[in-house]
Amino acid sequence: MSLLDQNWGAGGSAEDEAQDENQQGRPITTNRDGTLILIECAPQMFETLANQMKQDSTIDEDDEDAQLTTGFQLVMRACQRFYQSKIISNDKDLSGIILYGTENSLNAFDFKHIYILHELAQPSAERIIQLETLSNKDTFKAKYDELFGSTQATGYSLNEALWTCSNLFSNSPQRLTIKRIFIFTCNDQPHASNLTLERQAKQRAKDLHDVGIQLEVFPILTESITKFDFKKFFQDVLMLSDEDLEIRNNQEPTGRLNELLKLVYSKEHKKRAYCTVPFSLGKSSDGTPLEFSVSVYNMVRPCPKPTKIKLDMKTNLETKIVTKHYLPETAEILMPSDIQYGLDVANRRILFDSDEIKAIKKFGDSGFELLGFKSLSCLLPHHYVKPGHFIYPDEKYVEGSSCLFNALLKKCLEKKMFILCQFTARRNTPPRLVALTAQAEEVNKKIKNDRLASNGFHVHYLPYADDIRTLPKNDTTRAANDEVDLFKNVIRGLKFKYRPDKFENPALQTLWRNIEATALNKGEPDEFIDLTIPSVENQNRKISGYVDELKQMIFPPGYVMGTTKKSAAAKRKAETTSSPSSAKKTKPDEDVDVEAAAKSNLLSKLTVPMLKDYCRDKKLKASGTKKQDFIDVIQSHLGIAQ
Amino acid sequence: MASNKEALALVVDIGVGMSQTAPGFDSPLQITSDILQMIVQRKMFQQSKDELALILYGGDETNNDLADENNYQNISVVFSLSPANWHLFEEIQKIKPGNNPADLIDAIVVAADHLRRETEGKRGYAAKRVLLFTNAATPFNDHSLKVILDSLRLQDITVDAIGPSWGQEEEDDDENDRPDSPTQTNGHNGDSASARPTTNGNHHNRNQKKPLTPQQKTGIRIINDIVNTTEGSLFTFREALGMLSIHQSKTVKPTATKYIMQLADIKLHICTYIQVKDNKPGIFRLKKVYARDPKSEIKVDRGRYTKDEHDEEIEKEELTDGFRYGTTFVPINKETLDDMKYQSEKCFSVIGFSDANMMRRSLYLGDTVYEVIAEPTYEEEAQTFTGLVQAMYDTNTVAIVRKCFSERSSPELGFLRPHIAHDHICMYYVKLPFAEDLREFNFDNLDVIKRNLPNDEQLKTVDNLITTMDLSHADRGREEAFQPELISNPYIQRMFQSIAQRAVTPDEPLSLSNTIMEMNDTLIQSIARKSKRTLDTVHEQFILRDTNRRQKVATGEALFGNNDISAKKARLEDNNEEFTTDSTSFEAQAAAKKKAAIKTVGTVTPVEDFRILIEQGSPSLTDVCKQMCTLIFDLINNSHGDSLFEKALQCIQCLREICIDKLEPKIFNDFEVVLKAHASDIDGRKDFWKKIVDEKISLITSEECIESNVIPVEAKKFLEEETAIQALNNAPINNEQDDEEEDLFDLI
Repeated sequence: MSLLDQNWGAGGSAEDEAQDENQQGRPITTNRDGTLILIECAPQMFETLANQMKQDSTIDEDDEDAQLTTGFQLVMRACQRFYQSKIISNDKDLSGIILYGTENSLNAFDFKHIYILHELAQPSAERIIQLETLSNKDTFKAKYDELFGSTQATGYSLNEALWTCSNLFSNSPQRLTIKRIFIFTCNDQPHASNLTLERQAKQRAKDLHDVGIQLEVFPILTESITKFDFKKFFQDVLMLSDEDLEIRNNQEPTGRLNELLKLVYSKEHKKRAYCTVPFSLGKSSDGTPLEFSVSVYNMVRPCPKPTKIKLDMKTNLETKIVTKHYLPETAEILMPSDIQYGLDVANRRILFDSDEIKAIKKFGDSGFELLGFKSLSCLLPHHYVKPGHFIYPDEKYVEGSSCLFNALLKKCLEKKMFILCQFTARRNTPPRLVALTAQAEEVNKKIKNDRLASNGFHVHYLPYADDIRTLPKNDTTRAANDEVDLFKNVIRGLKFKYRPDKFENPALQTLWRNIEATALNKGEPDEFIDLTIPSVENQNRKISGYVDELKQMIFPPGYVMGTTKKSAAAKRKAETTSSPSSAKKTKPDEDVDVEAAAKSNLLSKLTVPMLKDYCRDKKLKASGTKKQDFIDVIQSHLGIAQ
Repeated sequence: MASNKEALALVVDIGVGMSQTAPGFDSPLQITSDILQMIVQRKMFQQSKDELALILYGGDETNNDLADENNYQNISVVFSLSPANWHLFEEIQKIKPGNNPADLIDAIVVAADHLRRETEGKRGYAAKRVLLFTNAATPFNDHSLKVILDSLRLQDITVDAIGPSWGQEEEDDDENDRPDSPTQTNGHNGDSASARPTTNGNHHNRNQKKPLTPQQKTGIRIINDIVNTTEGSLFTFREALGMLSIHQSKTVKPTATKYIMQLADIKLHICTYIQVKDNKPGIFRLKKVYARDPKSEIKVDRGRYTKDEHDEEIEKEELTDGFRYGTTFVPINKETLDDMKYQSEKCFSVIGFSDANMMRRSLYLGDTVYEVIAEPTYEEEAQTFTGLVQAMYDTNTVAIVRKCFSERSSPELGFLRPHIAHDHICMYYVKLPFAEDLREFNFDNLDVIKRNLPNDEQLKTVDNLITTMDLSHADRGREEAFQPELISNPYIQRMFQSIAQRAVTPDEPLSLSNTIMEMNDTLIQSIARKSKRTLDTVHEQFILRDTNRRQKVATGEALFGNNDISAKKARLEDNNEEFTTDSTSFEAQAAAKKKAAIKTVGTVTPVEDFRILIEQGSPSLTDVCKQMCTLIFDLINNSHGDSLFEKALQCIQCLREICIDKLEPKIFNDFEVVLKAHASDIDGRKDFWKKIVDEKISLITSEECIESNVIPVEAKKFLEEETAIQALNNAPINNEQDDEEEDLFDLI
C-alpha cells in the first residue's frame, strides 16, 4: 500500500501543511502525485528471472503471473498493476513510463536510446491494455521489437534518462505535490566502464534530489545477475546513509516490487485537515479572548462510489449538464438575482432572498466554543447524529496551542470527563453541540512503531431535542436465567475480535472490479470474497447444540422461525384494507379470521378485499371477481356446503 | 387516521381587568396575545389539522349566534372554527382592550354552542376544548352554573384556563385535586403532551404580582370548579409561555421497518425504528420563485450538452451511462449496469459478537440510530430476542450485523448494542465503516516535544477549570445541564421565527437571534461567573500567541455582504414609507417586492429597468451604470452559447446612449476597455467582442460627446486591433471573472 501512498518517502507532511494554510476551512483543490517509471532495457532484462524472484512474484498463485519469465515482463506487469491501482486509489495522479537502452528513441531532446512510452498523464485503459501485451508471453517480444527495436543498445546514459524524466516533470501542466522516479534495473553499476557518465549520472541524481524529486530503485535479478550491490553505484544516487545501505543490501530485492505487483482495490485518503479553527475557552477578565487553534480531521467517512457519468453515444465523450432557471409562462431565462425563495405556510407564500437564507444559517464564525465539561457517563449510547472528527492542536495560527490542548487532554483522561462545545464547522453552517472525548496514544505492544491510536480529542456530534424521537416503550417480559445462560454460550461461541479494517464493502468492490473488467475487456472481473456474509454452516457447527436447546425451551414443537404467520398477516391486511367505518364497528381484537367466518356462514359479511387476500394466500382461483365468486371458492376450499 | 383533530375554542377576556397593569409590566391581555400567537403559529407550522375558533368577550362588539337584546352581549366570535391560518393570526394581533362588562359563563356557553354547531355532523374530532384566557377580574353571573357544567360534560368539552396566577399561594389545598403538572395532564393535546420542560431561564415573569381582589377570588373559585368538572387543567401565563416558546416541527409518527434477524439457525421477526436522526423539517423546503412575481414558481431545465466549444444539446436518447476509468470513458448500458450491480437480498444477519469496548464511538457511521425490537406478534420469537439482549447486556458484548434494506440497496455493516431500562428493553443499531471508509492518520505524541508538556501548575489550573465548569450537575435541581434531550436546534428555532416574522411583517429585515448561548443565557452566565477566576489563571499560565497568519476572510461576502444588507434595509425602509396600506396582505407584499426590485437593474428587462432608474435619478447615475456594467458581464458570462448576447448588446447600446446623453462618456469608455480585455482573456467570449466589432459599437468619441477625449481615429483603431489571445484552460475562468469585475469597479 505504501507505494501508492503519497506519504511514502520524505517531505510529504511539509507540503501538506503548506497546503492547508491557504485552504482554511475550505475544500482543497486536488493535489496530485507524479510518478515516472524508468526501465533499463539491458539484455539481462530478457533473461530468465532468478528463481527467488519468480517464486516471490507469483504471490497469489495467479496463473498469469507464472508466465512472467523475464525481468522485462515482470516490470511491465508491475507497471500495469501500478496503473490499475492508481485508477482506483487516486486517478488524478499522473504517471509515465520511460525506457532506456532501447534501439529506437523517442524524446524531446533526441537523446539516443531513450524512449518515452507514456508521457506523464492520468492512467487510462488504453495504456493498461498496451502494457498487458508487453508482459504477455505470447506477444511481448513482437510488441517490443515493433515499438523499441529488436536489438539492445549499449552506451546509453542514465544521466540523459534522468534528465528526460526531470524535463517531463517540469513540463507537467498540473502542479504536483510529490514527484518521484522508480528505476527498474538489473545493473548495479550501469557505467562501470565510463567514469564521466557515472559522474554525470550521480550529479544529475543529486540535482533531482535538490529540487525535491525522489528516486527509488527496484533491482531485478536474473539467472546471471544474482546479486545487486547498492554500494557500487546507487548509494550515491539514492543518497543512502551507510545504515540505510546496510538495510537495503540485506533486504529481499523483491519486497518492494511485490508491493507494486499486488492489485489494490482501495481508495487513497490524503492526510489533510478538514479545517483549522479556533477553540475558544471564553474571555479573561480584561476581555482578551482565550483561544487556541486546532486542526479538524475526518477519520471515518463513507468511501465514495465511482460516479456514474452520462456519455454522448455518438462520440463516447463526456457531457456536461447546464442548469437553466426559467419562467414557465414566458420561458424567460432567469439570473440568480431574479430568484427568490419561498415557502407556503397556511396558504401564504413567505419569501426570502438567498442572502437571508444564508444569514439565517449563520450563527457565528467557525470554531469550537467551550460550554463546559461533563462526566463520560452523560454520553449515552444513542447520542449520535453523524460521523465525527478528530482534533489535534495546531501551532501555526496560535503558538502554545499544543500545551493547553495537552493539559486538557491529560486532565480529561484522568477525570473521565468530556468537553462539551458548540461547534461551527463553516461560517454558514448552524452550530451543533459536540462532545470531545480524550484519546490517549495507544501503541501495539508487540510492534513498537505500530501506533494504534494517536492522542487527541474525538469530536462526537450530539443530537438536539428535535432529533430524538419518542418511541413507544417496549417492555416484554424478561427471559429466564437458564435461557439467558444458553444465549451467553451462543455469544461465546460466535465471539471474534472486531477490527474496523476487516470488512470490505461488497457493493463498492464489485463495482470497481466490474468497471475495470469492462474497461480492460476482461471476460470476468477479479474475484471478490465477501466477508460480510456469515456462513450459517460454520455458525451452526459452533452453536447448534445451544440453539437446539433454546428451541426446545421456548418454541412449541414444529415451530418454524422467521416465517410469516398466515393468519396474522391476513388479519393485518384486513384491518388496513377495510373501510374506516367498518374498522370502527369492529373492535380491533375481534376475530376477523376468514375461516371462522366461513364456518359460521358469515362470509358475506366480510369485504371483498379480505376475501381476495385470503384467496391469494391460499392460492385459490375464483371464477370471477364478484363477491359471491370468492365466497364460493372459499367455501368449497374449506369443504363447507353452501 | 382522520379522527385525531381537535376543535379548540380560544375564549379571551378583553375586558377592563385584562388591560390594567402597573407601568413597566405587560398587561395580562398583552401576554395573552403573545400566547395566542404562539399557539396559532405552532398549529400552522406543524401543519396541524386541528381547528380553532377565536371568541372575545368584554369588547364593544356582539357577534354570536345566541345573542339577543338582553343576553349574551359583548361576546364576539371573530374567527369561526377552522384550521389555523394567518387571518386568525392577524385577528389576534388586532385584539384591542374593551371596556364593557361581559359574562365569563356566557362566553363559555357561546363557545360551547359554537363548537357544537360547527362540529355537528362532521367526523374526525377527537376532542373538543375551550381554552379560557382571563384574570377573572370582571364580575359574572353564576346562577345557572350547574346546568352549564352538565351540558359541557354531556358534550365532552374540556375547559382549560390560562391566567396570571391561580392563587396558589392562598389556595394550597386544592393543589391536590387539580391535575398536577401541565405536562402530564393533557394526553389528548398534542401541544402540551410534546412540550418538554426546558432549561431556558430567560422567561421574564412579566406579569405583575399583585394581591387578588375579592372578585378575582370568586372568579378563580368558579373557574376551578369548571376546569375540574370538565377534567381540564389550569395554567399560569408563565407556564404557558414556557411550553410554547420552543417551536416544534411536525412530529413524525414512528414507522417500523421489518427484518428477519438471522443468527445461525435462529430467525427472528424484528422491527427497526428511527431513534435519532437529524431533523430537517419538511416545511423548510424552499421553492424557487420569481422575485417580481412570487406567485410564479421557477422551473428548472437541466439539459445535457457536449463538453466542447460547440455546446450542442444532446437528446436523452443519445446518452448512455458510463464510468471513468482513469482517463478512459467506459460506456455501460443500463442492462449491463444492473447485471454488474452487487446482488444482495434483504437481510439482517448477525456475523458474530464482539466486546462492546471495541466499539469506539469514533467509528460510528451513517446518520441514524435505530431502535431494534422484536415484532410483538411473534411471542416466542420476542422472548428469544429478549433473552439475547439480556445475555449480550450481561456479557457486555455487541453483535456485528450485515444489514441490507432491499435487493436494490447496498448492504451495510453495523452493530447492535443491548439497552435495558427498568421499563424498556431493546437494542440500538448504528452503522459501522467498511475498510475503505477508514482513513489512517498518525499524529505525534504531544509529550515528545518538551514545550508541549504542561507543568504541574498548569495541570492544576486545568483541573480547576474542569471542576468549575462541570455541567454534570449544574442545572437547577442539580440535574445535568445541556442535556441533548432538552436543547432545541437553534437553527430550527430561528427559521421558524424568521418565517413568522416575514409572514407578519414582510417588509421588515429579519432580526436574527436564538443562539444556543442566548437560549441558555442564565445557565451560561452562572457558569461564566464560577469559572471567571480560573479562566484568568489559564490566561496567566498558558502563553497563547496569535501568529496573525490566519488570513482575514476576503471573500465576496465579507467585501460586499454588509453593503447588501444595509442596502436592503434602506430599500425596505423606503418601501415602508411608500406603502402604508395593508402591507400584510399577500398582494401588497408581492407588489412591494415588485416595486422594490426595480431599485436595481434586473436581468429580465434590464434596458427598461435601467431607463427607469436613470429617470428616477436615484441611486446615482454612477451606481446605476455600475449595476448595468456588472449585469452586462453577468449576461456575457452566463450566456450559454450566444443565447444572451443579443440582450447584452442591447444593454451596451443603451448604456452608451445614456452615457452620451448624460455627458459621462468615461463610464462607457472605461467599461468597453475592460470588456475588450475580458474578451481576450477567456476563450469562448471572444465571439461576443466580435459582435461588438461587427456592430461597430466604438468608444464614445469627442465628436459624439464633448466630454470625451477620444478622437474618432482612436476609437476606430480600438475596435480593429486584434485582441491579444491567450490560450487559457477552462479551469481558471471563475477567478479570472472575479478579477475582471474588481478591475471594472476600480476603473469606474
